[in-house]
Amino acid sequence: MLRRQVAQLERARGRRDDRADPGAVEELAGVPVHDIAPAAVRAAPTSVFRGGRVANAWAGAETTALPFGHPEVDAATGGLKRGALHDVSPAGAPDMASATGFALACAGLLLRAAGRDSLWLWVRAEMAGREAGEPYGPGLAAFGLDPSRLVAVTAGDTADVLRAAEEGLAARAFAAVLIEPFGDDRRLDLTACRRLSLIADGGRATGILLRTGGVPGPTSAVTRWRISAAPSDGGRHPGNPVFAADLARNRLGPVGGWMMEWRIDEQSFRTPRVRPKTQGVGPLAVPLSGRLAAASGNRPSRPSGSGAVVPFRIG
Amino acid sequence: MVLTAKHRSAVRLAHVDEQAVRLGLQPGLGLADARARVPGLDVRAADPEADAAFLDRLCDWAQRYTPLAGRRIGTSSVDLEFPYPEDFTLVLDIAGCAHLFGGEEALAADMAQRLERQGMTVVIAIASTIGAAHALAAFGRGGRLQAGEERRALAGLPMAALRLDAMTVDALARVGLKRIGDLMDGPRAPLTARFGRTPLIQLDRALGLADEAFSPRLPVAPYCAERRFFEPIARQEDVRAVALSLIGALAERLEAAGEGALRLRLSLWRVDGALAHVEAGLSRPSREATVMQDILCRRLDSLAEDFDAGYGFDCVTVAVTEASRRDAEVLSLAGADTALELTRFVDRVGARIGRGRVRRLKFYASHIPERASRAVPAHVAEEGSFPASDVLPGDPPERPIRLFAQPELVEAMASVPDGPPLRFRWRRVTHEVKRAEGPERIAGEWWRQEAPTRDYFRVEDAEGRRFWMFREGLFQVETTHPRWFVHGLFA
Repeated sequence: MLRRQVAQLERARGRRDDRADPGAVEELAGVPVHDIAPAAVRAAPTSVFRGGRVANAWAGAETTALPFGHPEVDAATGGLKRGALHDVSPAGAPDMASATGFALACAGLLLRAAGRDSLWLWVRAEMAGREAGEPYGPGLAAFGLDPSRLVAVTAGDTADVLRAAEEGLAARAFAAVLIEPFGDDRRLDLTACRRLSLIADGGRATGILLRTGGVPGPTSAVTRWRISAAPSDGGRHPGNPVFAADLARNRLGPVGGWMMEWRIDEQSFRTPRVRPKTQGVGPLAVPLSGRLAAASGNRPSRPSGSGAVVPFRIG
Repeated sequence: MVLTAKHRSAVRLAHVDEQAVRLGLQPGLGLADARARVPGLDVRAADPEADAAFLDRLCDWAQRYTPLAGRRIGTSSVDLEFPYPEDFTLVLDIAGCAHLFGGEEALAADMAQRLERQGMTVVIAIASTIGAAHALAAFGRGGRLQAGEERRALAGLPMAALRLDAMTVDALARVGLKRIGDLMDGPRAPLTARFGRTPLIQLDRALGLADEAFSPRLPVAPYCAERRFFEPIARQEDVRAVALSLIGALAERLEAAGEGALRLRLSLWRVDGALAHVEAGLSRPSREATVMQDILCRRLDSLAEDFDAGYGFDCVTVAVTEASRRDAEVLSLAGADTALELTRFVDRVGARIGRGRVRRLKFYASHIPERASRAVPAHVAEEGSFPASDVLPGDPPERPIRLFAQPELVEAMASVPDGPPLRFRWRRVTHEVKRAEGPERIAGEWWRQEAPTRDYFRVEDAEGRRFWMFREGLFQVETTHPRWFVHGLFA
């Protein structure tokens, strides 16, 4: 019952404040908007609505969208909506790094628009760090984000993740808030998600809910992305990150699936170039494209790669 | 009933109760001897750590009378014969506090009543020196000494009351100096020559002729506000309301002194003698009542599950345990708005889930990957920056976005001596390597410990997942069976 109410409410809201694409909103069958809104307000815990937040949340504060830089995605979504909640999940467990990358790329778009000095927040469950790895400063820098402007919160459980995320979205300090609970937890239900959406709505921060581990639960986000890894076009060595992005839900327009390449130096997505498929590497790796490995006294003098292929089993 | 402790591989009596004393048992007696004398003896093992912890708690409890409450008052005197801490004395400096309780005697009576209600036997002595008060409490009957009466009151007490070690007491007793009075009028030089300076220094301290330092167990809070209740309060809302009003009072005093609070401590004295502390920290000195209230309330909320009011609290204090000059610069900074918001966020979330959990990343100049980036608690982190990536425009990143704290061991098939992996099995999934780049050779830091050289590869599997892997150890130089690890994940 609650779920239906919230779904109706979302559709109603879509009609009210989405000037971008009113046609995409489904027709709401005869339910006046004003009748639905208070019901949903009652459904969500009241503590969210302190200090006049309700008024702000429902006033439809001006929101802008940032272009992804990928023409088809921009056409479908109208860009990455700021002051909203977006949902990013991996298609399968091994794709968690790609999902992280996509979420970070979105944060990159937001940070570029908000200015070089803006702060960003990454709230993650302790288990997420253990299972999928901790944010790595030099790697984030190489990805085009400024790690020194990151505030990283490690929370013990989902309740603390949500608590810190709500504080982060409400604070006016952050341009992007990455929220990474771990595992499918019943506490991350539609109500919790709705709370995040409401706080993000029209605020300064944009929330990105990154569901690294676990089944995607119900969501109230504006867009929901399912990300899987895709081969890069770097030739024989790994190239720029490419994502197979599946837009599974879009409140503002049609859904779809695209290949998206993240251009680090431009901090923008693009359509990956189509290349003839390269075959596997064989026994020889391509030397580093950037800095070369330091010549080491330990390195054998004979040319590398002349050895035989020998399997190693580690028990 | 007696308590026993092990001393030099013999079990001896550590403490005896009144009845045991009447039966002729004394601390220090062997347990076998005691059993022989009193067959039906009730013997329990002493637990010095629990005793010490109990005394610490009692000492904190005594802060309701004065902020200067301490435990260890023994000098260097260690009881060599029986090194069980005999030091069951609490010292309170009540100068300037007694009038709040209606005088020194009223204070002592109040304390005795409260402690006896908790089931303790206490002797309280009030004197103008620590030595005299200790001697009266431990060897006399307690009571109150006026300044100047020490000489007369102490003269009749045994020498051990001066807090001397057992050897010195024995040596003094052997030459006939058994009571403190025997020391007072004798010639000083020969005593010093024979027994060292300690006995006379202790005597002077007890008589107020020499100073004695005393350190309270907890540092004295620079700002403190308290409220007492005739009827204990138990509801959490009441506690919160009291805390808020106390913070209001503190804020005014901070304002007047031009300081800001960095750490706050809310102390709740329960009627039955238990004491609870709630601490919260701020990352910038603050004296706004609303900010301090906010932080403390969040901390209280997060402890709500463990909140045990029992029969209620009869005394509540809020102390600023750490204060510093409020930095005027903070307010004049151009980006102060964001900085202030950040500070607030760090304090609020820190109060809620723990301060150490809100962190900033710091660059550290090391070529060992896991050392190059550190997470530092945000309230102590200073602003710093990471060096710009020196990758050419358009080139893929050289470092992964996520790094495992512990590199994960994988089964890999690779070409020797230093080729990239061709196939590997990580977390029960086999990955076929389609693209690889490397090696990037990173040797261990020789000035730390010997660590094998790592050859890092960036690899991409058939599905397009990108990994940062390394081989540990140089083939046939450092090891014959190099192991492979996944250390990080690329987007």
